Amino acid sequence: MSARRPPLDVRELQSLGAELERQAALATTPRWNADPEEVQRSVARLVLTLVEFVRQLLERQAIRRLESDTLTPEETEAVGVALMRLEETVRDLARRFGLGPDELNLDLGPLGRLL
Amino acid sequence: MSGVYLYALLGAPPTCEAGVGVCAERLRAVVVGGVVALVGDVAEVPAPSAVTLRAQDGVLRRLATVVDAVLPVRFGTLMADDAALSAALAPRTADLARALGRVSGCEQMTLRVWGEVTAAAPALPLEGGPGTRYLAGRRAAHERGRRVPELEPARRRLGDLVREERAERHDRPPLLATVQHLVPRGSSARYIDAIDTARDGLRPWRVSVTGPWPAYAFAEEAA
Repeated sequence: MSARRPPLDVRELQSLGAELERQAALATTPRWNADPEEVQRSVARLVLTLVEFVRQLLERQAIRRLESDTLTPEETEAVGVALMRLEETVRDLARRFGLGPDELNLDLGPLGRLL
Repeated sequence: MSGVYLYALLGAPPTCEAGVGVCAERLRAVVVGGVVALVGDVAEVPAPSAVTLRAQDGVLRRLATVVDAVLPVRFGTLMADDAALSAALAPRTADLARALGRVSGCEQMTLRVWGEVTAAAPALPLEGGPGTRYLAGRRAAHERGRRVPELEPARRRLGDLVREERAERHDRPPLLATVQHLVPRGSSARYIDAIDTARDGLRPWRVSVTGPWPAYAFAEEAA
């Protein structure tokens, strides 16, 4: 490392450590939890992950159409409201099951993460 | 589970003995189409740890001294045997060859951007209903996720040294973003000089540099 490079301070190192831990947690393959009390949460997590995946696909498609100017103002408003309500619904349901946004994901092995 | 542990995809076979891998196994090359896979025969997938990750990084760095194009493969990638490896790679050889061409003769430098506040985001349009404003906000968020405007003064200094860029915003102060640059092999000293020269112009943001690394961030096709 070059001597001219200023060293990181403690807060910066802690911040980097937290980000690495967050990414390592995301890379951990979630396992099916057979505890009966956790079954509902596990099923909710799987279902909401798939809904969130579809929501993000729809959002990207809407943005592509917005950028290519193929949506009328009325269509833009309708699609925007639908996506906004879908996002609110996913977040609300996730909160009810104690799921954070980072937990709505699936590890697809060699293909990487779903989201 | 024993199998064929995959380290990297190469543009050509190593010109000398590839040495040993993470489990001290002898490394060998498997040719599939125009792509060369560097593998080792292991009894089980190495557990991820600082030691095994460094060992795998060491294999890739060693390879970079004897092969122009090295695409690192995700740590822990194990195939049942050579036939399974060939079956997995064969349909993708055209994409992999393009990816190898992109990283050929290059290495990766990593910049982390630090600060307490992010660069001001462009103002969102106020007109339209809530759906229109929501979609405009999501569009701006997508664009912002791919950009690190805080680095503009450094980009000007780096000029054509950077072949490609990958950016990821964290926005968790003080860590704001990580930016990976693909640069010609052997140019890391010039890269660091350019960043050091840009530091004053980057304020109030700070950057830290690490590297050179194998082209980890530019190997999506080999994941």
